[in-house]
Amino acid sequence: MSGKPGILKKLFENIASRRREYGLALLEVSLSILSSLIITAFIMILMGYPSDLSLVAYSVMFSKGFDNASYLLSRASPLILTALAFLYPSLTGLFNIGGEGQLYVGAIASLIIALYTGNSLLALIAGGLAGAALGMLLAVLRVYRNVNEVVAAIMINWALFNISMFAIATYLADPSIPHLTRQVPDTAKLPLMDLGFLRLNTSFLVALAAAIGGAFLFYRTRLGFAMRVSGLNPFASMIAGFENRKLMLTSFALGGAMAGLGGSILVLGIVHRLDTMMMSLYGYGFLGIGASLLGRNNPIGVVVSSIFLSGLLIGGQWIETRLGLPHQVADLIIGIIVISLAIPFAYHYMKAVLKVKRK
Amino acid sequence: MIPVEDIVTLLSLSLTSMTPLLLASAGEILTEKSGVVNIGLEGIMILSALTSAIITHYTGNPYLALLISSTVGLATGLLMGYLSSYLHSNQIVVGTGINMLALGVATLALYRLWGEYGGSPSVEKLADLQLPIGNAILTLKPVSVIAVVLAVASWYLLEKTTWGLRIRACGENPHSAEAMGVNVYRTRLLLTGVGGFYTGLAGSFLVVNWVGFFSREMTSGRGFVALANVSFSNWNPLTAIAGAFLFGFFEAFATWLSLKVQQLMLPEYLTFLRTSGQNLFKALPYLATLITVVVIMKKVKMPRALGKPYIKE
Repeated sequence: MSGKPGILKKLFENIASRRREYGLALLEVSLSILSSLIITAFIMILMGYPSDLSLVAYSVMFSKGFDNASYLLSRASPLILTALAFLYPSLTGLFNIGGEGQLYVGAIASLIIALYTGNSLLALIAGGLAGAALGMLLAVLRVYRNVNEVVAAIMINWALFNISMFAIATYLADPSIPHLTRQVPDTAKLPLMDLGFLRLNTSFLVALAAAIGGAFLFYRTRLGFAMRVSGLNPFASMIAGFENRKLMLTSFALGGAMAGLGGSILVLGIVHRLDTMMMSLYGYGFLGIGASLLGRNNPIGVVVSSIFLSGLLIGGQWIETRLGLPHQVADLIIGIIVISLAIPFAYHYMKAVLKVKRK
Repeated sequence: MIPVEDIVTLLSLSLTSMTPLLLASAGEILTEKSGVVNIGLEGIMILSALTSAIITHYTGNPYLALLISSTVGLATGLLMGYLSSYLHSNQIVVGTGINMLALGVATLALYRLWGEYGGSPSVEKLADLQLPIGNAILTLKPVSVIAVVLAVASWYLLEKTTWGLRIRACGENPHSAEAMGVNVYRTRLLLTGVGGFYTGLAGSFLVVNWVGFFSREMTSGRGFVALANVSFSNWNPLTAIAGAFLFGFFEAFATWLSLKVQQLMLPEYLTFLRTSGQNLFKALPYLATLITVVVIMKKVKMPRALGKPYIKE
């Protein structure tokens, strides 16, 4: 019994320090969002837009972006998955910039399987596997051919962007509506669930399950522990007897599967068909990087940040229809949020300066 | 047998396509040798191309546009350098942010100035240099010449001068560099600025020396291809000339091929190339570059402190 108070004390200290850590992260995120809104307003004024326009735009963005919960959650679902596609490999110390390409192959594989089998589960699996295979390819190039994963991913993204457009226009197009593909059959669509206050898209549940499953894997299992150690310090991980190469391959396959799944649910649950210009797909992969960074390397944080960013994007569309401003204002805001997120040191630096002054 | 005219056309096109890549990758090599990786090249290119279109549209002077856009590149590079050296930011994150920001700024500006989302009106261009080769004429862009000169100059700076030695020290071992009396922060800041300057020139080239207007998609990943070229060239600006030419050639070849397909007699099962083959051809340069990188890639030697913030004790 004598050991118990010590253990409890340690536990409480642990929780307190965790809390401080989360509080700090929350503070940094809020500060960067706030400063990004201010800087964006400043840029708009510099460009000669009326000085109060940005305030009006923000009020439209925030009031309309977050008022339809069903739409917000379904818009956020693919983003959650592409964000996880960046997050999981980054926990193992690798950068998966290839989410965009993995999203394309996932979407197309799902569409094909859905068209031929009409089964949503098979289509989901196909999307995830296609993404995982592509992610794995990047890892193989990195591990066995020493090709930088960022470089390879970018080449593959651009090649796949064009190849997918080709495939959509030639093999998948609907003969009666040539700029669209054939539609996913009703049996393969992910259903909407009526909860009374909310019409929840099943896609969101898939995304949420992927986040929770990932959190469990990385923070509660031996494999996840090994992957995180390898990310923090590959040398220590090698000494501890973990196989870094295998861990890299696993985490990249996992990341690719996430993005592939993102493409899957986009097709099966949200748009149900693709257009030849891939307007409905383009950009989710890149934006996922932003969402992952905003979520501060935490699967659950990523869910929150993806919902927030989706709200901004939806709000962006509203300012386009309401105020005639380009919806890319939202991109600008997100870009500045990402830049300012990268400077936690500025905060510590300020604190140090203030401390010196106080003395 | 491919006629001489076609070869000369291909060569002209290759030299043109290689120019923005060479400029951006030579600049990035300087930046990375000092220990900063700037993946915001794409964004810098977009910003400077936009500036070029604006300046040329309102003043009609492409030379002024070239000058001011490179300064915009310099400024963005300095911002990136300040964040990553003095404020110890994660460089990948800042670079990603700059790319996103540039797209937003470009659309806002396009919309404000011309009421368009897609592109700017046509603007004045620099004249091409025409070199006759037999019956054919080789078109050479003036900025292409500048690009090669800058690449060679960068190589000389890095490999043959004391400054170059100091820059490389910052990228290899910043602590020793500091002990040698080099100001690591300032060096990284300046070199990221210089890299931004080169990239700004690349972006400006797209508008005032090649396409003649600005559109948001005009960079189409060239900033990223330049990054690929940096590691492909093993951080050597001279090899980067070859790498840039290679990608430029693939790009030119794809353009040439899509034109040829329209003229050739094709068998029945290949006619789809004429109608929807465009996209396949566009994928070609990226695939070819990737395959080349995979095949040729040997053990590359990247600067040891690349991408790591330097924190003074």
